[in-house]
Amino acid sequence: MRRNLSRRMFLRSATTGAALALPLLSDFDHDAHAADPTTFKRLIVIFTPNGTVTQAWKSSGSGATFQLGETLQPLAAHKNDIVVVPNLDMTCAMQGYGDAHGLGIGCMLTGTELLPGDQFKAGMGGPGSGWPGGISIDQYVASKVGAMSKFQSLNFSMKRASGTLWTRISYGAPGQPVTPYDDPQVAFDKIFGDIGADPAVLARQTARRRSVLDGVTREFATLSSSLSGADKRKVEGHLAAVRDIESRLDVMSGTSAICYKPVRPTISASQEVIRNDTGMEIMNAAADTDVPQRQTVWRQIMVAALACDLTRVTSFIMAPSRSDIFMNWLNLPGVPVGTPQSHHAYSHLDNSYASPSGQALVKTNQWYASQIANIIADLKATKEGAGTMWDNTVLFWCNELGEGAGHTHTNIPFLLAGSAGGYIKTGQALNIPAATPHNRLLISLCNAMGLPDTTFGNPKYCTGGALPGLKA
Amino acid sequence: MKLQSQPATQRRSMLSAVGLAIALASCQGQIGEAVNGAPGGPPGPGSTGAGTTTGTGAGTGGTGGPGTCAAAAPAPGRSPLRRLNRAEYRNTLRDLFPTLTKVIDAAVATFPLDEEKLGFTNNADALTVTGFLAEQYMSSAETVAAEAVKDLTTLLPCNHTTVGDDACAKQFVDAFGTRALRRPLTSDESTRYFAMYTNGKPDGFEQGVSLAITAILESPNFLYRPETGVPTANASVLALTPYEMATRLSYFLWGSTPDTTPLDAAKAGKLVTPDDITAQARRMIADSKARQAAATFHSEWLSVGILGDKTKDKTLFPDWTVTAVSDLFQEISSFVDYAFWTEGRSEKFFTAPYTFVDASLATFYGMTPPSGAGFVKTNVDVSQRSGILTQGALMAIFSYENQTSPIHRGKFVRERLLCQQLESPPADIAAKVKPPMVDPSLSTRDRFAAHSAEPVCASCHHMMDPIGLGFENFDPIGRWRTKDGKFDVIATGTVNGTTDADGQFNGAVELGARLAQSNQVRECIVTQWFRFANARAETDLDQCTMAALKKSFADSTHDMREIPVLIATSDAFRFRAADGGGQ
Repeated sequence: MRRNLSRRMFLRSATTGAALALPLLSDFDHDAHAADPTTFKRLIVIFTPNGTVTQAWKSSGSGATFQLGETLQPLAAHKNDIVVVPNLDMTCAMQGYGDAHGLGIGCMLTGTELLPGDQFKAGMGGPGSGWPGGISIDQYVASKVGAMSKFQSLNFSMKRASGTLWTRISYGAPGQPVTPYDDPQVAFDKIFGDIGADPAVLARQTARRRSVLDGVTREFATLSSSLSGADKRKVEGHLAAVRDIESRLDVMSGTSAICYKPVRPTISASQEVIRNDTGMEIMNAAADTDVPQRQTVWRQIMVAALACDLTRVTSFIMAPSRSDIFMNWLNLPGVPVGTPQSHHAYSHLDNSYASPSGQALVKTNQWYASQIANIIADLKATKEGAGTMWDNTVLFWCNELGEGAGHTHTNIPFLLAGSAGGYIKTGQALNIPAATPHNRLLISLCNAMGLPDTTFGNPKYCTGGALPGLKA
Repeated sequence: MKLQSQPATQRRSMLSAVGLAIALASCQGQIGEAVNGAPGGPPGPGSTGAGTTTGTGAGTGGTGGPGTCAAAAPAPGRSPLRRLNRAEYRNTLRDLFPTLTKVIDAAVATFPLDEEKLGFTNNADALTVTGFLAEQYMSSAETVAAEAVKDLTTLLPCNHTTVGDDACAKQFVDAFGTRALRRPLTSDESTRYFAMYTNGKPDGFEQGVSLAITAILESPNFLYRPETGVPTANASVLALTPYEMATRLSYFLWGSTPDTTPLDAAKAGKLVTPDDITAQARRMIADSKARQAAATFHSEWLSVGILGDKTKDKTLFPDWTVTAVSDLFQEISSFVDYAFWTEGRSEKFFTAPYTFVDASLATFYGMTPPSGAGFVKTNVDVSQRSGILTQGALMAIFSYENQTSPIHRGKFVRERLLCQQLESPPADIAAKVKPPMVDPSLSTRDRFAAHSAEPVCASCHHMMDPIGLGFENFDPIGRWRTKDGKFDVIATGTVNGTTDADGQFNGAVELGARLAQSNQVRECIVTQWFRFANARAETDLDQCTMAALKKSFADSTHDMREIPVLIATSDAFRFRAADGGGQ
């Protein structure tokens, strides 16, 4: 079904970037969807890398007794919206060949092992790996709930980096990474470009695009039929992307009652993250001073895109796996002389709570927690129906490692925030046995988003189904 | 069977020489892809060794002899479907629309970055298309088409006001389509693209033409380089069509779409015989576009592209300025360009007693500024510097912010110059060993001693550190030094595990002299060009091609300028396997 758009081709441009204060709702009727929040759930996936200091992450209790760990203190204002999920292992990361970061990030949202291959090098003694072997949770949910929005999902990355295991988290299918937007201006133009344009101009552009894409898809099909093996897969993947563009031609922008157009960002992509042959980031402290500003810019794009119902599923890579962002603005306690003051470098050192490098890691993750608190605050400030956007949202904060220095895949610092329309019982640290496969959390997320799945990823790790104690 | 990074003969001699068989075997990585169903199996490794590797003598195993390849049918290996990478796409559009450079560059700047494999960004397997790139292709095509029709006089082969709109549009679609798809349009295609024009025409003639351009620029036959081939006497091997050969030559030698000369030659049925191909290749190599393509090859092979992203400790190295970085880039670019195009011989690549400096870089290095303006070929003190190895850019690239990196310097020599691929460190390495830190009480050499003391490290690091420590006379920004902190620099090093470059050396100049005489290095240069030319790693199926290339390179007295021509007429370049070659 396509929505009737004529009455909603309205747009507002916020005059200042900062204001999430919303435009005048009184001009317009509420969107039918907005009036019924249960049909309008949103999923936000946030990735931050390099593990944590378990002792500082650990939280306990529920309701009145719920205590957030030190790392999570920046989220204290939203304590009642949070579920800390301890004791989960990424069992699928414990198989096959790869480095700990690659194995973890590949398993994290897909619940599957890496494909065999030699595209990515392993540690000593292994043949290496290909891309992850399954669809990621965000893309799966998007494929189910995203059809009504202009973008099935919107994926963002703080850093510009070529596609590798360490710089991607989302997969549309086994071995098919989703390229995130890494340039705020490009993202803005793509996402909000149609908003405010003359409907007649847009209609003509759509007609032209349809005409071209009809022909292009036929050419792709002809070419594909003459190919086999890897060549065919390559072309079919491209064809699927073209078909997806085509299928959304009629979906217009700015259709929700609370839509507003943010100000176009003044910054473009970050400097590219360069890695050497083994995937280690070549450090560049100078490039990182604008990271806090970029956090704000991406958050504004993300929140506005959700408010406009341009998408219902979004992911944000706040830093790539093995990130070596220099967090100079944090004034980190001294780590040993000669060690670069960058995230991955100190995450590798002594991660005991009291050590300087352990404290640096705690402060780093606290900063990321504060960025998540900002997202939550923005969503809470955006009215929707009788409540706010936050009521219908669930945010999933994930990491590719458990403990930083050990590069473990046990006890991953997973966190959920938001109830997804009342589905999730928030304000608690879940009480589940150690070594529970994290696939069960992915199942819970599907259920929270209204999907009845009983497995996600490799069914081997799904015994028991959704996590107990999570549903309200 | 997977391709080893070097022939078995070489590995055997290496292992016996070093006596660390197990550790080495686990450290050396593999390159390339599994290949299935090689018909009849390739000739054994002995043929490669015998044909091209002199001086090893060891381990002649294998089923094939030197004659096997000559007698065999063409063995083309894999020909994976190739997509234009960012640079090729940009160059192609610039050649199709010479007046729209700025618009094209701006459009391509928003494309996602190409993934690199084995150093090269044109690797066919790594170039897939995501939803984001598909959208960027669409926007780019729309933008470029809209700009192009603003100047119809430049764009069209006819005057539409005199010839008539439709007739002129028809001419344009066929002419532009042929350039863009690098072959004549099929009648279906011609009809379809003309129909695009018709669809757009109600909004004006320009809108019709722009819609046809948009459709062509979004076509998979534009974005990819599909090859159908034509049958040969051998059922398992296809020859390329002349148009496909024109396209391969052009993207290899120019990094862009063919101009009208090879397309006309293809139309006339040329570009089939090795002589035709050689003549066309030499014509293209004489064009300035070939200089840019060779620069791209050298930049990716030698990892020079990352120089601009290197930062250094400001306190220790206040001279590391934007100007210095740009100068060092200019220096290595000028050196490589001269060493390749003017000097030619691979030996000089490693031993040339000169470099290129301007006044500002000379000051940076502490040299006497040259008399001329700009970058001038200037002799260096050959007790300190010579050839590519001592270029400041490489020394700075393979260093940390505040210290040198013997590891990365050694690894560069191993992987890029000796074609020996090394594995990454194990994921849990940090839990086992702490990396050496800057410690004023120890020299760099002493800090890295742990790598040879700890067995877990030594298994790989003995491949890297003993070479890398020979560069200790070069500081982290590429300047000559005699002191490492308070210690006198010791720049002795050792090469091991090679077929013919093993031994002790003192300093990078001696290492350069050693590599200059090594057949393993010469063959590695050929191998790197092969990867660049064919957008893939070499496999077992390419053994005859590789053997022939290496022999011809030797016959040319190791003239690097000949390598592109030799590759253009090699089996892997002229043919495709009918079954895809194990794809």
